[in-house]
Amino acid sequence: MITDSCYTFIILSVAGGLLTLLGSVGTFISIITQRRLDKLQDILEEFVSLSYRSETNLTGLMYNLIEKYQMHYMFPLTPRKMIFTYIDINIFFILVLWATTLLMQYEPPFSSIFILQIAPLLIGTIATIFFRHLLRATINLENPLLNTIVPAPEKLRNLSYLSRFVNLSVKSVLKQGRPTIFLSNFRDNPNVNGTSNLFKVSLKEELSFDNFFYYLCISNSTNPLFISFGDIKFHFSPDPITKKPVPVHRNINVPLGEFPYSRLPNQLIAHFLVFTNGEKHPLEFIYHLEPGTCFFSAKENPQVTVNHQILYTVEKSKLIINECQTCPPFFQELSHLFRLNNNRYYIHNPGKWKSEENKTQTNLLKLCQEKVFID
Amino acid sequence: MLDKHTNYTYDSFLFVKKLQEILSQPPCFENNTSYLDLGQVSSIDDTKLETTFGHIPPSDPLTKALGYILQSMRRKPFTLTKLGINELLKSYLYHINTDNQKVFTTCYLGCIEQIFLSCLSKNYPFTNLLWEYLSRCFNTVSEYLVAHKLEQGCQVFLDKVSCISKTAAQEGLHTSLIQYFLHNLEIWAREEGYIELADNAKNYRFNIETF
Repeated sequence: MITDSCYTFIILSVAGGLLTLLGSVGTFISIITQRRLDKLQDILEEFVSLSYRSETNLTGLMYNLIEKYQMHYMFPLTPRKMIFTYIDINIFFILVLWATTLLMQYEPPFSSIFILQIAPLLIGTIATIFFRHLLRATINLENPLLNTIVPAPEKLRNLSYLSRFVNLSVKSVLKQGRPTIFLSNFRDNPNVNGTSNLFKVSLKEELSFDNFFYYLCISNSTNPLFISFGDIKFHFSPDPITKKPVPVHRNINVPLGEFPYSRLPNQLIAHFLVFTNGEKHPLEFIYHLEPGTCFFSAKENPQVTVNHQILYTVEKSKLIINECQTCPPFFQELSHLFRLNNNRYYIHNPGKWKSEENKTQTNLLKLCQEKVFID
Repeated sequence: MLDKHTNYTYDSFLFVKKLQEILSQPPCFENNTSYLDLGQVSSIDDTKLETTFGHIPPSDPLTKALGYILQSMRRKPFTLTKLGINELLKSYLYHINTDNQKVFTTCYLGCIEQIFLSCLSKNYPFTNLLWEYLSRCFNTVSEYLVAHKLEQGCQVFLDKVSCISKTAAQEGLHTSLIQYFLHNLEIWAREEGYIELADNAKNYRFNIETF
């Protein structure tokens, strides 16, 4: 039998011990987090500085770095669950012990002073719960405080995010992703509508860089045949079989629309402009597409330049063209439609666009609803 | 011999003429001869050793041509090497047929691999040019192979080229042209009905840069 007055002190000292343990768990977590942050920042720095070596082939290396980043970003599930359970049980006991000591010393009747007396306990409870919240956030890395230091792995494929880094060349990074324009022949049912042949236009990327606005104009020697513009964002859910997260994909195809043709052209030229959030001049890729058996593909590497003739800003998910001296056909006319809303639009008969009235023009604008696929 | 006329060593006309002379002879390969190659056979007995001892392998035009091309890679203009590779691949396409497609592809591509490996040496200044030229040639050659229904040859060609490309990717050379080539080959093969070849090409396309 322990005396009542002594028992209160024992309970309080147990609560104190538990609090110390909680504190040391915090220290333990912070040490682990710090190590992980160091690692992640090193990888991030390596990734950013890769962009200076555009003359070598870094596609494989970039892919590996993003995967490595993902690996360090994830904390293994079992120890994380164990730590969380420990913290939760610990805090629960501390609160129970505090409440018990209070109840043991409580003498009725109830008065208003009691509320004042209970206030430190309430503050202590709130502080402990807040501390728990903080620890959970630190171990997850997904919180606004740490996001600025170590971005989520998906951010490494996000061109708009990467373009915010001062010391990064978006051009070299995107070049390593090797975007190309590919036209595949698609035989439509000739009975349904007059056209018998359609070209499906798609953007192939060997590394799935996303979050940019694009403007594509495919023309033969004289006229533009196809125009497409829109915002490209990917969302990759974890692999359904292995359950591993997928920060970046290889060989991704983005359908951009389709256009009919009657006579097979000899050569097509594609102008592909890329607008990212952090830049003011777009990147321009020029592809010379040559016919294969039933498809058009680029046989040469594209010319990649920064187009200094066009000046743009991004305001409230709208792309505003401030200056445009020489630009691809229809660029100026369509610029009021440029919005960052994750949709891809196309016009398959740009010749008609000029002759139509404003009201019917929007009918010519089509939304490409085909999903992104891997091939 | 080219070496005797040192004044003419840079003459592309003489170089190509000499190569064409060599390569116009039909190539002969080890397995047609009685020459005993220890690397090729798994076991030998005394009688076999006795009977084949003293046999000399026939002179192979391919080795000779390869020697000239490798020589052109030492302190000589890139044009010569380019012409050499071109002549080698042309002679390959000229001599290949349905019966010999596997052996011929293996031997000729073996030469191409040696040329490629020697271009990786640090002293060779035109590595990028040579690799780009090779990538272009691969595209044309494979188109010819598929169009002429040499499926097995094309399969060997694809295996070899992917092996070379993997080395190239590890050395940091750009493989975008190879990716185009593999994609084109995949489409051509599918059109001709060679599903296995097309699937292999696709598989290689996904794997070239996975180290």
